Parts: sequence; structure tokens; C-alpha cells
Amino acid sequence: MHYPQSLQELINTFNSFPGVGPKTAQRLAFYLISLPGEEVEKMARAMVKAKKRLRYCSRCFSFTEEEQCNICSDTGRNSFTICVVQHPRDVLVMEKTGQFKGKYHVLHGALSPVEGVGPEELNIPRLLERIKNEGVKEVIIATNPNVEGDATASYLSRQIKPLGVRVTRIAFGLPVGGDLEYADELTLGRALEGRIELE
Amino acid sequence: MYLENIILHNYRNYGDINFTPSPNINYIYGENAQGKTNLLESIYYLLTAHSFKTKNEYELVKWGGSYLRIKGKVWVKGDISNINIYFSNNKEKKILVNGKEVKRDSFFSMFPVVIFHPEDLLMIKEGPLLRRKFLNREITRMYTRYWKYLQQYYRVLRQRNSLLKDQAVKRKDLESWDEILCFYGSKVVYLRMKFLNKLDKYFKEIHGTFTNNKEDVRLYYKSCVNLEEVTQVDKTGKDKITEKEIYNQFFNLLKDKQEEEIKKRYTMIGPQVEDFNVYINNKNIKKYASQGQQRTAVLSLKIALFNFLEENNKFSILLLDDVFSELDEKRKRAVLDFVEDKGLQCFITSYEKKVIPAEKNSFAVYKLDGGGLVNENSGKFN
Repeated sequence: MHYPQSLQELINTFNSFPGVGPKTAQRLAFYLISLPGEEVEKMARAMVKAKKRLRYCSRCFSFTEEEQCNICSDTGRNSFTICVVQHPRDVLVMEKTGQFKGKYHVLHGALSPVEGVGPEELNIPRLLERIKNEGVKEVIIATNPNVEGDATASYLSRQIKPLGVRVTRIAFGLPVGGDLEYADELTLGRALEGRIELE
Repeated sequence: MYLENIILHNYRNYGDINFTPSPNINYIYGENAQGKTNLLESIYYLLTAHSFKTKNEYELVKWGGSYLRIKGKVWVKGDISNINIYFSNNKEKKILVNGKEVKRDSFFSMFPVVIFHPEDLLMIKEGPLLRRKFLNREITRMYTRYWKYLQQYYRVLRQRNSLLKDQAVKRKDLESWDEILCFYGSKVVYLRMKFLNKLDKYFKEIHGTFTNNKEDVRLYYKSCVNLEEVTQVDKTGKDKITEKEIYNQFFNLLKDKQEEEIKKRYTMIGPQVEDFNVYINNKNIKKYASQGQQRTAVLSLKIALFNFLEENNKFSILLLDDVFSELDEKRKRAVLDFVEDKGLQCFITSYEKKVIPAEKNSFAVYKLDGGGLVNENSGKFN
């Protein structure tokens, strides 16, 4: 049996979302059409509104509705330290720690030649400009702890160090509050290599 | 460790079979094409969820069937494990150990098993691919972290090679992959060297027994880095391979090869091109040994592996497929003595019965005929 065209279109739309397979797409579509009309319209409006209003911050490339995001325009924050992350959602995660008072720079990805992502596809040239223009003293690299994130960190370090700026990488470690026995070999191995002297 | 029982359902030519072997030596004979190797393969599959015969697992499902199931009871150090493997034609695969689902990667090193089969000879006769596969498989069993390092290494390698394929590759782009390539690469090379160094000791010992100490054998890892330079004498006076030194050499070598790699457009050095050789009396076995010598050497290597595992508290089962062809009487006897003295569980297949000397009456002897297994000691049909 074929679904009516509009339903099939809706299913296909959901199916194109990341992490959504055909079955979930179908469930979501059926759920959506079971809702009252105004609920659906509210959702559609939220989507269109977000898409229309949001843009990248002209300095750090995180999401904002203004020219600059609220972190970049916050004069109370330390602008001599920049934390480099891969994705806008990583900014939120870092902010949750409440421990970082500097500024951010979002790359929107990591180096991956297989997928055709080189330094030009990431916001690296803009980062180098910022370092030169904003009197940055330290760059903290918080790219993902995987092969691509590590290579990106290595690339950044080679570009930034010659500018006389301190470059650091966040530590590889164990999840706090967990048990050692549940750590996988790779994480534990790197935690061991990055061990620190006790005072 | 020993296998108490194995039940096959829809497995190759077997259909259904319920086999309760002896905890010691099981001698299975029968004419060709009766399924001797398939029986050993099923035991190997039960314990590893891999086949040593084929990459295409669909072949394991009985012709016309849509799935296969293998169940077994295995004793390890006084504990029994119930293994249940299900594989279907639509690629679904489930491994349950005591009712809990286990991933294939971690299952692989849970129940060590060592197999010798005639095609292992290709490991010596052919190119480095089979030898690298042997290393990757066996080192994973010994050091589980090895597999993860290898996977990460290949991920970096794929990225780096993809970059090299690009005609306009920039040096600084390439260099950003070098550190991480060397990071995982040196770990892989280190564990391979460490593994072979240790295996070498057991290999020499067992090969000495099999050949009356007439042949001096040696395993040698052929690396891009210089083995002598990465081996240092430690405080206790022992040779010690240093991972850091491997890293440094690997890293410098990459720098030296940069021009050439850009020209050839692929990564030329690293574990993916490395190899190991077997030497008999200082001569490469591949070129300078007879078929019989090569066969004995492979057998010694497999049994060395068994001893190595055992000494690391990983007790395994030994599967010897058609081990006696091309071995002279003395060597046949030495193998039989070894398995008997060890008191291990072993499965030996042969096309003839007469290999077993009369005094070896502790062997459980089975005749395989038309897919059925008859215990000759009890006359029981499995």
C-alpha cells in the first residue's frame, strides 16, 4: 500500500534528519498529523523563526540573533583567552562548567580529508586573524578527543605557536565519579600518559 | 579450558549434531570430504565467532537454510560458560554468553583457541598479508588494547592517504596528521615487537623438541624503524624496547620520506607495510627450507602460541587439522607426546587411524562418516 503523497513527503523529511531511520520517521510523521492544527503551526513557526533569525556570530561563529553573540559582546569576559571548539553545541557544554571566563571560536568541524574538509573549510583563517588583532595570549584547543580532533589540534598548534601565543589542549582523562574498571583501554591509556604529579 | 559439549544446528554439511568430546585428546579420522575440517571450524567458530576457512559467513549456513545456531558449554578455570551463537542469512548475528549479549570484538579474546590447519603454510609461502593478519589476530588475543590502537591507526592512515591523493597537498596539512599517525603507529609496532620477542622464546623451545635441537629458529620483525636502535638495555640488564624511541624514529622517517610520499601519493611506511620472517639456522624459511621444514615450523609457531597464552593465564584449546601429513614418524610422535604430556584438550583430524601408537589408549577416537560421528571407544553415535 502507498501512503498519500503528502504523508510520504513528511516521512521522507523526517528520514533526512540525523539519527532518524525510516521507522522513527514514520512514527514522528504519524504523531505530527495526530496533533491539533495549531500545535503543528506553532512548531512550523518555531522552525521558520529559528532559521530566519539565527546566524553565525561575526567573531566566534557560534549561533546568535545579533551581529555578535552574547559571549563575544560581554565586556566582563577575558578576551585574551580563546577556547576553540568544533561545534556551537560544544560552547554550551563548556559554559555549563562555569569555569571558563574567556571567549570562544567555533570551527564548525574538524580536519577530515576523506570528507573533503581542509583548513579552508573550517574557520581557521578567521581564528588566526583574531589572535593577531585581539591581543590573545592563550588558545585552548577543545576539539573532540578522536583522530580528526587531534589532527586539527596539531594543525592549529603549528599555526598559532609561531605567533608567540601559548597553545594548550584540554586534558584526556577519566569521567569523574565513575569507576576505573569501566574505562576503555584507549581512554585509560591516554589518562595514564597525561598523568600529573601530586603536590 | 575445555569444551564439554557442542551442538550444531544448520552448520555446513552437518545439519544437526550434538557432540560431547573428551576433555583430553580427541582423534577424529575419516576419508576426505566427510567434514573433518568443518567440525574443527565449528569449534573455532563457537569460541571466536570467526571462521578460519572463509570470510563469507553465509557459507557456514547449511545449504537451503536461513540461519545457523551453535551452542556450547566451556569450562574455564572451574567456571562453566554457556555460549550461544546465532547467525542468519540477513546478516543478523547474536553472541550470548550465559544469556548475556556480547560484542564480537570483546568475545574474540574471551575463549582463546589455537588452530593449525594445512592452509597456514601459506602464511610462510605467500606475501606479508597473511603474516600481518596472524599478528593482528593473535596480539589482540594477548593484549586487548592492540585492536583499538590498530583501528585508530587505520583511521588516521585513511585520512592521511586521502590527503596525499590530492595533487595540491600542502606540507603543513600533511604534517598535522604525522603526530597522531606516529602516536598510534608506534603503539602498534611496539606491541608487535614485544609479542614476537616473547613468542620467539616459546617458538625456539618447542621447535627444539620437535627437531631434536637440530634446527635453530628465530622470529624477526621487519619494521621501518631500526630494531637495534629502539632496543635499550634496562637497569636489570635486559633488552627493553622503548615505545618512545619507536615514535621518534617513525616521526623522523616520515619527514625523510615526505617528498617521496607526495610523489607516490600514499603513506609508504608504518605497520601497514611491515612484516615478520621466520629463520631456520639463519636462513629465511620462505626461500631456503623444504615443505616439511616449513610445515613443522608453522606447527611449532602455533604450539608456541598455545604455550605463550597458557603462561599468561589464558588457557586454550588446540585444534590440529590434518597435522600429520608430510611429517616424518619422529615428528608425528613428538607432536602426540606433546599434547599428551600437556594434558590439554585437543582435537586432531587425520584421514587415517594408524598414526596413533597402540599405547596411546587415552585418546578418544572418532570415525567421521557421512556427516555422522561415531565414538570408537564406546561405539556411541553422536
